[in-house]
Amino acid sequence: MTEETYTDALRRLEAIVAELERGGMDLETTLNRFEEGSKLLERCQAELKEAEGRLENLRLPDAEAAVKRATQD
Amino acid sequence: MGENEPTPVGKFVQSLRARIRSDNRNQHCLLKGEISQWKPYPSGHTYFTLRDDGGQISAVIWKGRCRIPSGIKDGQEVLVIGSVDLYPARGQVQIVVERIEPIQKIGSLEQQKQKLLLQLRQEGVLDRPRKSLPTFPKHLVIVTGKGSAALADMLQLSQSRWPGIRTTVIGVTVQGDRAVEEIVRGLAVARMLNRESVATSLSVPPCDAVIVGRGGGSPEDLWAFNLEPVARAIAAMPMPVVSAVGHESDVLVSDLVADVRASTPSHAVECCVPLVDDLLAYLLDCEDRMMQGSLRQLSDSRQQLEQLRLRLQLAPQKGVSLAVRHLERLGNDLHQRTSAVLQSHKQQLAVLASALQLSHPKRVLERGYLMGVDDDGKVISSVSELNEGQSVSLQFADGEAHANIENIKQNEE
Repeated sequence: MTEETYTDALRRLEAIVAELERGGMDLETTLNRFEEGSKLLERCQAELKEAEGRLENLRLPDAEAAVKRATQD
Repeated sequence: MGENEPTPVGKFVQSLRARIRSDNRNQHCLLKGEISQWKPYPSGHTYFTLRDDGGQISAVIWKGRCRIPSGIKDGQEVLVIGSVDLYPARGQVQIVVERIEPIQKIGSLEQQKQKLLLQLRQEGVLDRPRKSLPTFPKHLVIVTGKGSAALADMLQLSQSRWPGIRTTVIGVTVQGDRAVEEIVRGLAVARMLNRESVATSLSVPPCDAVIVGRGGGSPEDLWAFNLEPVARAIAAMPMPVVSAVGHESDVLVSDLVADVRASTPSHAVECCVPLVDDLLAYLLDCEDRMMQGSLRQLSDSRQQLEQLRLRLQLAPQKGVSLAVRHLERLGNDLHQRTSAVLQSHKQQLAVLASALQLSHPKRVLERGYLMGVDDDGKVISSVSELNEGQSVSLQFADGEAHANIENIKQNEE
């Protein structure tokens, strides 16, 4: 999932929350929305986790060497 | 040592030196003058004389203690920050230079900057649409002074906002002659890290946000960020770039071409790295609200169902009893109405029957009358209808007899 879709997922989630809070839906729609919202939530949480990683503090020549090696792979 | 004892000159000079150095007025003086006898020595120290029409003073730049701008030569007018010292071996007063900048260089640089800005504006670089920063970066690249205080600040702030957020720092030289080249190369590395193939090969997500900058300094220190190669490199980046040079006064060209301008390196981190706790709390809040909303919605649905169920349960009984009552009412109605109709019919019939009975000719015959009928069966109601010798039939209540008319006598009027 790209960053745009994280934001999209969050927007959709917000819309679902608002819809559920507003009420007046039939049972089936409620369950469908809840299911969709839960999936969106999981996706968003997974995204946040995925942003974590290492801190690489490189000097310019080392950074250039690393990128060069990567392009040769 | 008595008052009239001679002071050894070395001691005198040392004491004089101490007095010169202890006077704050001799520390970090800002001087303006022209360079003469500029002499870099193989030892790395540089000696020159700073002069103008009013006087002159020796100056020394100790090796590595001060950046020497390019293009400094005799006759160059410069600004010098330095402290007064006495060189005891020669008894010579000199300025130990802490900073030196050519004076007209700033003026000509400013001109170059304005020219560059004009050109960038004409090319549309300054007005191009800016990329917006992601909600949070999957892979943040910071191009800044290697081992600088600004870098330490940025990392500390970033880790406090989002511990463990993936970051790659590319340490470059941010001032001096090599700055422009190194910043541009650092940005080139960041651009490579944006490539899917390179990122995959390094097992990192593609770089999706870049901070390029440095801590504060004099206009000259920051000048690399006003130069064309850096400006062009920033403008050509495929991902959003934050210009983060700590300065208060003048706007730098990098600020104008970047996607986001941050006032300081720390501010840049605030722009790029959200507080992860806020994001998590927001998601939890969404989850909570979604749960509450759904539950309320479900309990509403359950109530509706319950009501429906009750109505369904009651409905058949209600319907039947209604129908029965309706039928009963209809039945009663029908009965009442029909009996009334029947009664009136009966009465009518009785009246008719008695009338009929009374008017029937037989009833008359029963009372002793008889009725004459001709051969055609027609009742004879007048003697004028008769002829003598005619045969007639006499109808009695219990039978008939045939007779011949012998004599006709009509009543007098």
